[in-house]
Amino acid sequence: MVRTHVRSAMSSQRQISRELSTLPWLDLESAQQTVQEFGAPRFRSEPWKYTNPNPFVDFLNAGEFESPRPPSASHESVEILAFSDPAATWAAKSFGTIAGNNSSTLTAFNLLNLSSGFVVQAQPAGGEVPVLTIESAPNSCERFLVVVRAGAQLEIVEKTAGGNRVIECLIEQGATLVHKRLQQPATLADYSHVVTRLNDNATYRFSQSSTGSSLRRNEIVVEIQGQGVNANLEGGWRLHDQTHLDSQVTVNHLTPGSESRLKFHGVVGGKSRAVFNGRIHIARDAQGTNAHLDNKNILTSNEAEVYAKPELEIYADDVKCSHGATSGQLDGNQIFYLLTRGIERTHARNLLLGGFLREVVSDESGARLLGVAN
Amino acid sequence: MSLLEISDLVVSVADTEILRGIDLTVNAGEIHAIMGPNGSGKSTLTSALAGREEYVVDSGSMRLGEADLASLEPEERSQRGLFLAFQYPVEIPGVTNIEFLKTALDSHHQARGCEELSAVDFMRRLRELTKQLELDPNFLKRGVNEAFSGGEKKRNEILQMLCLNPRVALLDETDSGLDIDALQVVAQGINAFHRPTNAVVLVTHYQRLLNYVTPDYVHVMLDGRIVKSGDASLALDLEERGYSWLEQA
Repeated sequence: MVRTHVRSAMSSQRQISRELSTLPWLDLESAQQTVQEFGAPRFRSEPWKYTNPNPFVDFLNAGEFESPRPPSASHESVEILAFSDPAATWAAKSFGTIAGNNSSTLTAFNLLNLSSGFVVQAQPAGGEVPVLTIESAPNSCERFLVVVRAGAQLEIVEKTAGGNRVIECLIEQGATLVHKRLQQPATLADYSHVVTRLNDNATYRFSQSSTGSSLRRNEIVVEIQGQGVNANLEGGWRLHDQTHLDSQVTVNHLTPGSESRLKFHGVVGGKSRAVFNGRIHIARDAQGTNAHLDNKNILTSNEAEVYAKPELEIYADDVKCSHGATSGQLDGNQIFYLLTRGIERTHARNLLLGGFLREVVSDESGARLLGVAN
Repeated sequence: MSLLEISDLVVSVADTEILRGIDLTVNAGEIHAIMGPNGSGKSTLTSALAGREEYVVDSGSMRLGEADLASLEPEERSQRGLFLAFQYPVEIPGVTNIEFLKTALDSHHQARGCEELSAVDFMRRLRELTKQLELDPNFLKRGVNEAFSGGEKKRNEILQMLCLNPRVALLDETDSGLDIDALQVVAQGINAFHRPTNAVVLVTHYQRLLNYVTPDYVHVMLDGRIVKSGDASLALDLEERGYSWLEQA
């Protein structure tokens, strides 16, 4: 039997509200062009080899999104404005230059169907690091532009359970962004695309905890455009039943003398499926780069599936890089060690899985979400 | 009374017979040392006693007090008072030593139907033990054996033994890879543990540990059998003469 995969059609018609569609800096024409030119992503094409994109497209086509839940900030040094706010025009300078409306048809399609959008900027302030909380409705199509101004610090806590989100972050010189993402179980298709650009001496710490969802895709892109940058990305997932998680992580080193470290661990059980594609790209000019990528998966059932692909693309000659991906079962030696200390087998397995996930999920709320809190 | 009774034990690994009839009786209050060249079956004996899956008991018996060890799962053997200090302690990243020891101790208490140790008493006990074994208290917050030096790993095995307080402790080459100072600390730990109510079985290649821990009996294993038993002086003989005279015998 020949199986064909029907491609969902992307309507180039805009569902974006009239209020937003009049903002020139959103550059909807360019997004529309992208959609018309490239159409919807194709299942089985290289970036969508193991994940069917149709439900994401269908989700946006269906429209009828919930009313927005604006993000909130813990400190006045963080300014949050809706796209439609006249004071948000400063965003014109940066918007779309990081994520790019042409980078993928899904991000362009996100813009054409936007239900809400916010620009955020964090200014330097003393005292505790301000927290920006993004808690999106499961049925929403959103876009964020977050700028951490030179020398400022910001922590984003992003809690999601479905929807379609594109987040652009710009971390200016010497600034720090801590991005904690908690992905709760979702029944609707959940798509997110995060692009972060770092300038000189900027720091980005990304940590993600993901539970199983019917269909979830996380695209994370880090663009290093400065010296002395430190990007640390960690993530853990625990999948059950028939859930599907696709993680596409890319780090582009465009400038010399920076560091990136990617560490993702997953526990994959039931009939679930985890896809991981990690890619470090080091441009010709990015001499002295230090970059490491590590993905480990533990399968806890015979029917679970893992598709992991680590990639290194190096054009500079003075770099320190490593990459690796593994998938397998729990280590029999570790289990035996715990058994010989009187720990019951089920408990031993849970202890090992907990430790494995806590290696990449250091914050308490992430550990709780994955059921591995101490 | 005998705490550990091994009779005519035959054990195979991957269909290859490694132990070919071991007889050994260990009574309360005794320290036994098992010596022998590489590949003679010493570690197979401790692994079979602890219940490693790949080690198949073909015949014979092994008893811990009244219990038939072969009929018990590895965790039940531990809960009934058998302890194995690993030759190569396993690293468990992400699980702290505290979490690991508390879980192990709680499992023992639950199995015996006694009350679990309070967190305060548990921490007090652990702090005493780390001091005794000259370990940095931060050691308890680190992942189990993760990035530990060889000496720290072996001292951690002794810490676990003291914490779980077994009836029979099997120490598989706990002295290997230790410098003189660490060796003395480990020996002090073994001596502190040893009482008239428990027993220690040391597997070792070297006489040097026995300078600090005096065995009541020394056994020599060759080719899956105990070929000679004697008192502590046998270890000195072996140090001087090697094993070849026994192979020829």
